Amino acid sequence: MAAATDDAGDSNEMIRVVSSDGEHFEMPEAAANLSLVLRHMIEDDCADAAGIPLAVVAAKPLAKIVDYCTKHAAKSSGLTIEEAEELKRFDAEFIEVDTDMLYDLLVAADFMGVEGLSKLAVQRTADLIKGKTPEQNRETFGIVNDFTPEEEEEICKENEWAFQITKPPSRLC
Amino acid sequence: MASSGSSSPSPKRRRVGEAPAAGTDKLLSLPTEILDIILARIPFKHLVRTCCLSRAWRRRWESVPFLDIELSPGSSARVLWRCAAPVHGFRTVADVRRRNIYRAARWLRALARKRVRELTLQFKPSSEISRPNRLLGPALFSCTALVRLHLENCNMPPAPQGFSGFPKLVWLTLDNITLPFKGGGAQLERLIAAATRLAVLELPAVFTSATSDPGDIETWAIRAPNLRELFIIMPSAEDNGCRFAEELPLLEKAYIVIDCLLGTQDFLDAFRRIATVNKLGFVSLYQSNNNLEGITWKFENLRDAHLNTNFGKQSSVLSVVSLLKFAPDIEHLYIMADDTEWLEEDKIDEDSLNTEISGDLFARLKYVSLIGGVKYFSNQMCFMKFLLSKARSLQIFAVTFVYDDERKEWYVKACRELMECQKASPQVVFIPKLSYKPQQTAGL
Repeated sequence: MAAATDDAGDSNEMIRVVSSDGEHFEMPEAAANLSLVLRHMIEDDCADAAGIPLAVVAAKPLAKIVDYCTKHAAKSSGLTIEEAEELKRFDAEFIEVDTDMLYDLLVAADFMGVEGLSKLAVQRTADLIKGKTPEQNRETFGIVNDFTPEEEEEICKENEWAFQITKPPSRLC
Repeated sequence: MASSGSSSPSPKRRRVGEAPAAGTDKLLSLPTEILDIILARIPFKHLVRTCCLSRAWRRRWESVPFLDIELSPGSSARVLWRCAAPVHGFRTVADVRRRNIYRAARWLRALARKRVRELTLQFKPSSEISRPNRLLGPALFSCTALVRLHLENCNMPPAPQGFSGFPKLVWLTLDNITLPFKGGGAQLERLIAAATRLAVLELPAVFTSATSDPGDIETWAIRAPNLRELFIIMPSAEDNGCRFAEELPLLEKAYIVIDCLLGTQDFLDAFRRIATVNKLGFVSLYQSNNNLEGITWKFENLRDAHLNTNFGKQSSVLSVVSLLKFAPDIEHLYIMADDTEWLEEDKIDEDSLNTEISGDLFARLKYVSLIGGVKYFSNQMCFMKFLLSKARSLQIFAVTFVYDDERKEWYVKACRELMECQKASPQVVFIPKLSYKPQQTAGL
């Protein structure tokens, strides 16, 4: 189930990891090294045939992370302009996920210490928020509007400048 | 739940792969530190808009540290007081109106409290003499956490007694800044010296009382042992008193226009202090003499040099020679030919160049670029052909010719001559370009 191994980095060693729900994954050592946590475990000789248990990362996000690391490890050093662009395209497609998966990736990448993925997921989330009206944001992220209409109006007024100069004039709140 | 970051329940414990159930706020369920990083990446205005999402969001933005804030003109200083400290950056939207200087005084008070690290204040330049630039508020000097300071088109007030500088400052840019009081130069000297980590200093237009009263020049010195990049412009009538009194041992790049020091010991001192650079830009509007003639010490690291030259003056052409003499390892040479309608006052020909220039001077040049006012003038053509016949390591020779009317048949001739002339380097690639520049003197 794990990612392609044919374009692995210079290390041939495969590292096994186990998700919180017991699924096994494999990735080249160079890919595992992109995770700070896995790298430390490998350095401490904790990587064995049974696999490194990742007690808080479920199979679904872990599969994505293994994918990400494998791709990036294979293309880590001495990138040509085309390869860098291809990697950028990969990232852009990779992060086109629903908000549940985005949530999982944010937390898992942070937990595993995969810096590039953390940045990617953070930027994606920030972009999602900033491009939307309040109503769209509520819908996307499951936010319940618990203001009374009067309260909402008052709050918008309090920070009126932030809602101004949107062209064309869209609805405020 | 929303107002304070640290006291939120611990969603960290939740297993990844079990995203929050439907109906719960997916953003506020994130660990506080992650949500803070996300929110800090949202443009300030959009971030403040999150206040109306729900009760829990009403004050959430106020607890996000390290914000980069760009304030639009309509916003009040009050929002700044509500931001969490430290504020990472603050910049005004380009060209804040001058009357906003009063608002800026309030911004500065708030930002000083919020320990702002990067501050950029750009005001609209004043166009009329009757409306000079305004004075910045004194709270500027309370922003002691500054790492980067960029001020444009305003006046700097006198620092209060006991001001000990911006000790963390790494980057300082003062563009069209006046210190309109006695001791302004000394204040700049102290400010720069106190910033012991200062790496980049840009002073494209700084005026002190010395500038307005040339009879009474208070000089001041740049003391910056960690400086890497220096950019300074002091045209002939605008001496602000800046001098180069101490070594700048780590300097890598310098771009200097110091016509106000031409012909003085201070001019030579300036070149002595910047002798470690590997990139140098030197521009002068005065070229009756070879300005670089008196430099007798070597610029060992210099690889990349920009210089302007008036090909109508032999002395000006010889400044290129002087440059190559004191910096024998230059590989990239950019010559800006002065774009003036000069007469060829001095006749330059192959013989005169041969007597003045040892061909070896050009031996290490790899890339030569001529830009600015290159036309089909005989002095220019003669110099270019001479250079091509001597520069045996040359790889690229790029010339941008300019024309100001439709009569540009000379361009083809110039290209052909440069193509066909004798070249010392077998691998050199000649790249001619043509750009249109209308005559400025034409009375339209």
